[in-house]
Amino acid sequence: MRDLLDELAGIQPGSRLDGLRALRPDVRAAVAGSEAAIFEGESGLSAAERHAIAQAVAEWNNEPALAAHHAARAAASPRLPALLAHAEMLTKRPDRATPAAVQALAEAGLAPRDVVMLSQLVAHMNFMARMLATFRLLERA
Amino acid sequence: MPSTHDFGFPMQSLDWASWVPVLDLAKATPDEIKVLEESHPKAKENPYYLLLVQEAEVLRQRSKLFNTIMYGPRGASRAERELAATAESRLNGCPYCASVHALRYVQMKGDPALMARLMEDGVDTPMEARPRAIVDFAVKLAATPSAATDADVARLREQGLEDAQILDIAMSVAMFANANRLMQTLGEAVMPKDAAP
Repeated sequence: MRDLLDELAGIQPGSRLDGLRALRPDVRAAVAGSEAAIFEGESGLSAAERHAIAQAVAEWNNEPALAAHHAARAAASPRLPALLAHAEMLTKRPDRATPAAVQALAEAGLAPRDVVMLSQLVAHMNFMARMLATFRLLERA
Repeated sequence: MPSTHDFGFPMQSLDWASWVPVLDLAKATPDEIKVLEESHPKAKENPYYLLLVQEAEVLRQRSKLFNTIMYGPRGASRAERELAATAESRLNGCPYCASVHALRYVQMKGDPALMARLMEDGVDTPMEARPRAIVDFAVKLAATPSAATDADVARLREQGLEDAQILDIAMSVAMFANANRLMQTLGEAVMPKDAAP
């Protein structure tokens, strides 16, 4: 099974990186499963909002291919600026988190489940960015 | 400005309190119970998992990813995966994550003195060449993914790590880029009630 990381990193079947990834097949399965659950699952956050947030997190991590993947399905909403502000803090300064920041999301109309989805989405994108950076290093070196 | 670093990094088991309402276990669906059981042996008593299980399928996939990256057989030693995770958690300022994984490292590898210094003084504390190479790589990839360079990979190879092991260390860092952000921004570390002052 191939996942989005193979596609974006250009990992060819039978290549050295393909062989390294094949040692942990559950990673590929769970990355594919996470992508489906986060971007296609039913949520109080619209799919367009989720892709817009993903695009921004990819850009903050300097991952243009990952950002472009999400840009195609991203769209703005009235509350998107508030969601992006939270995503930016999570990505760049997670040590600045406070209960008040979470409370602000509730006041913007997010149910607890939506707060979980937003946080999982941002956490997942930070995972994906580091995986792509690693594949570039191992490919080159 | 307050920071999650302010709690300090005690090397002892901590509790975690959620800032967001968690699932009432008595109202959990059979699927939610199953996801909790797949995630962690004590997930049903843990507010972190009771919070995350409100997006059950997302948690199921994330737990599968976490468990294979941190506990999968072969490849990098479990202790060295824990070292990378602890260094990143210390850097990002997640006291709960850092304490869990520092204690696990000591359990597997010994060397409580190294972990005590890492917790107290931070990621620049002196250490031998192999853990140093792992921590330096972990810290760069954690802070800014593109900051990790060919030279960091070369140092890991000089210390005897094969590429499959380097990938394992990097995946541990990627996983804790995820884990720190959840733990740090959805709740906070608290001293257990029965802990000595």
